[in-house]
Amino acid sequence: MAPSTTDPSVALWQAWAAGHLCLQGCTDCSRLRHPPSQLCPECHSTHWSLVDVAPCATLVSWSTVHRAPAPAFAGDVPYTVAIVSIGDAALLEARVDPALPPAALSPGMQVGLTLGEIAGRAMPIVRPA
Amino acid sequence: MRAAIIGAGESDRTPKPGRTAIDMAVESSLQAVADAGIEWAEIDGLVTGYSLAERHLDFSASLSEALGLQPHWSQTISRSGATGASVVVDAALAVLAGACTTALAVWADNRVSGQPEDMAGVLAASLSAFELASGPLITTQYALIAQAYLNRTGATVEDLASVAVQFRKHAALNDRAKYRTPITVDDVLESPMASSPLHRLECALVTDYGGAVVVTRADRADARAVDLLGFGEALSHSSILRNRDLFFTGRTAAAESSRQAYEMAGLGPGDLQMAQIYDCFTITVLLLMEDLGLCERGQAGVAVREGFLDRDGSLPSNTHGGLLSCGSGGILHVTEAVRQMRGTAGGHQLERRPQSALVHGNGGILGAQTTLILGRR
Repeated sequence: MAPSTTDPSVALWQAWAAGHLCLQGCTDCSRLRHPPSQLCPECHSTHWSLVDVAPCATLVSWSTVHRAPAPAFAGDVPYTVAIVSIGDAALLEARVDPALPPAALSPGMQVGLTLGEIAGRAMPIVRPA
Repeated sequence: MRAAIIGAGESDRTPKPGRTAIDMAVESSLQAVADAGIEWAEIDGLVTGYSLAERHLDFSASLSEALGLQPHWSQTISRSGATGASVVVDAALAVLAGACTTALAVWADNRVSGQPEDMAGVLAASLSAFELASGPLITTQYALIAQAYLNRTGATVEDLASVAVQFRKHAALNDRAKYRTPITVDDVLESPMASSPLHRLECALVTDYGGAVVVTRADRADARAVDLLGFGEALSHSSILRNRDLFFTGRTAAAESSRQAYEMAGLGPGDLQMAQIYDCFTITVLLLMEDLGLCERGQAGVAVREGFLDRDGSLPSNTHGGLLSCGSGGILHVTEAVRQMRGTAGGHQLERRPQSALVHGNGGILGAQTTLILGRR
């Protein structure tokens, strides 16, 4: 997909808001990277595009937050934040849908991803596979 | 040629309305220069850390003026939590390169008296927008790494809690530590959960602080000097999402910074008689112990429970109580090491004055690492 801006972070937020579950990928070595950056950490190419990713990931770690860092999140407390791996390339930090309670989480489990809204912003959310 | 530390000072840390970061930087500098026994005219270099609570275009310029100095070499640096150890590295690099002869290395902040109103701004400066969006605390970022460590190694929440218990035991002997009442593992695990698996008593204190050391060339220093035998710095990431090792192996850039420092010093972990290890959270200490080669991977929790870090144990560590019980600011790990080695630590002085020591600073979310190896003459 052709990004509408040269700032890779802005482009990714815009794509998520438009309903595209995607990440930044290097057009030269095809490695995915996240958070977005100007150069590829693998080959230092400046060429990139946003690449659609499948709505599934592997659970790496999680933490339940008991005190909100900002008023925008206060209504959600307690909530669980996870690190998930897209393939074996990129790590994503995302909110976990309450349908997946902490007791149901285990390292390496397969989870689903869906675009949802957290504090008014469209972003991937971890849900049951 | 080596650099040496010839004096150390710490400001009072009791919050007072209107107390500035510069106040505490001046107070610790005065003590460090007095401890070094040198004239102000001999100071021709200055390196300072940054303040979160107080804005300075260049903290070192503000402090230079407050101290009445016009140094040949000056700079303000930011390596987040590793700044305290890194100001020593930069002062050493400057005196070894001949940019100056004797440098003050200072870090102070009025994080309580200054009451920074925009803490959301501090959080935003620490994490990427793609992390912040799901609502983590700084603690959450460490907690995510802690949960992965527990999952991978079989270590327990009791292992993590033991770190806080150990350093509180040390703080009990330090009349300048903020919290001195001994605690148990149960106390830690019963304290409110901040971000699982980390409880409130597993998180660094937020206090005012100021610390300073005087660094010069080793050949200009007397028998009381503490030599900087080795140092190393390494940086692996800004966002934890860019470093899979944090979750899959537990290896941080401290393995690289300490490798450099040990190699320069010609010493290994087994040669150390004391360590001062950056302890922003309990998990930080376990991970760093393993990267610094102080124990086998996955065994740090067992070592802590068996008293490895105790002042009467194999490697007395964080003898002041650390960030967990004494006060904020990685510069205190530096000043504590120097004071213990010079025999000026006061009521919590170790019975056996250490001949060698490691000081380690950690910055960001385990991204910036700085290791110092110190030796007594």
